[in-house]
Amino acid sequence: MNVSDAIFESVSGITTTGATTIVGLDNLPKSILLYRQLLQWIGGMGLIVLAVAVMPALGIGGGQLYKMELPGSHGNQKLTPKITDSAKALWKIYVGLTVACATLYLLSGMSLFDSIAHSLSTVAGGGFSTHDGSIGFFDSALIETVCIIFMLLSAASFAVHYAAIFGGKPLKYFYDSEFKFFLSVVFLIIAVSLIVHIVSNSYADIFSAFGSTVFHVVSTVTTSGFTTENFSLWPGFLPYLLLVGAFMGACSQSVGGGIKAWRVLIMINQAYKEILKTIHPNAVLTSKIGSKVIDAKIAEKVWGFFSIYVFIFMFLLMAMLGTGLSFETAFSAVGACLNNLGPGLGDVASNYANVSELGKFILCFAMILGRLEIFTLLVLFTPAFWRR
Amino acid sequence: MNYKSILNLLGILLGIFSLSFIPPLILSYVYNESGNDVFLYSFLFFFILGGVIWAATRQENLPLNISDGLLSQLCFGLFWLVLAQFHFIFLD
Repeated sequence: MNVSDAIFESVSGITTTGATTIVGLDNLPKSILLYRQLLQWIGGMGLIVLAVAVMPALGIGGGQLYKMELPGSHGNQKLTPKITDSAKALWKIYVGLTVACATLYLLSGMSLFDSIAHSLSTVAGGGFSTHDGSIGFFDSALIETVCIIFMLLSAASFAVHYAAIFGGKPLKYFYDSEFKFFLSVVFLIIAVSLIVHIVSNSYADIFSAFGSTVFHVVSTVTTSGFTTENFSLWPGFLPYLLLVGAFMGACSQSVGGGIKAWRVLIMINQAYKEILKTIHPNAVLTSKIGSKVIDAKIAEKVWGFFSIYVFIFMFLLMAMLGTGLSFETAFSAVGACLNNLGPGLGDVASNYANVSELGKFILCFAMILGRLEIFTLLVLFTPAFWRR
Repeated sequence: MNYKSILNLLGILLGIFSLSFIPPLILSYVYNESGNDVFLYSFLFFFILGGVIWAATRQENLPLNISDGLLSQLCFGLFWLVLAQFHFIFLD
């Protein structure tokens, strides 16, 4: 394997993206396969600590909004005592999810090795598999169902998991506005995709259409990137719809990528407020998420984050087009890497082996930017950070 | 910016996570696969490096603030990336 492929593979692993350059996974040594999965698992754990303890305190893109749920994520400067408690609790949740996932995979008929390997990447929202056919290799509805459940669980905010498990509020899942919003978007995309599938008659029966639609929508919107078939061949606008779903991505403080559901929620609220203001110019309006009033400054930061996201996307898209890829391939490759999704459309639908060396480095950069929510990386380049 | 505590945390992280090379190492011996040397060397390298960094910067009551935490985590990620790719380079 050459250096660019190796770097791409490890960046993709650690950032839990799940894009691969390796063709012929089934023939690789088992130790290397397990190592790839472990890379994602460790990446996922590191990410949660980063997202729960560091990013809210830095206030990345309005991130201080969700700082109240966990000890250690309060916005003060001392990290040590509280982060130890948080990290321990998160560690327990993460390992617990992994063990539960591996057990269920095993019971649904995977081999011991495959069940452990896949549980590591499922809980990490990664998408690496030990087979070229990904989850489709197993051709089992039961395994797909287990995969869907754990992709959704890992896309939920770990602050919500924490409140539900350690805070004695098991109903938290049902009244967390962000998770509710995230689920409704998933349902909406599933409904639209299903209608298009039925109208265009692309499946033999409605059950296989339903199964495949639910699996791929959940897999892309949670930015995991497992597949059972090549969804880039889906009819009409559906492949792009799934990619747009990945732009929203998972909930805050989860292992998923993308812009994050709560930012989208705030942007929608803010846009609605602006519309109302054009009708009633003098009205005093507040945006709310659930019962929480959103500070105007946070909404501003969220829009700031979004505009940087779009700029970076355009910039990377130009760079990728410059390496000679078609528009569809370049667009989806940047989208899939920046959102830490994994599989794209066109030439990168199943692997990234055909992307040029320069292109792979650009995509590595995109994955790291996306994973660190852009600002965390950019903040390192400011003199003010080093003076603190 | 407290570089001593950043290094200390980095050492702890490297030491703990070097343990993740053990399962692939065991697997490569069980299945008698090539490339197990790389896992063994990676484990030893990270474990010793982490241990040395941790021991050299050990102190009581580490004052850590947010940017320290961020820096040590990013350094850790970078270290990991540089070494992670070697496992793939030695693939045919």
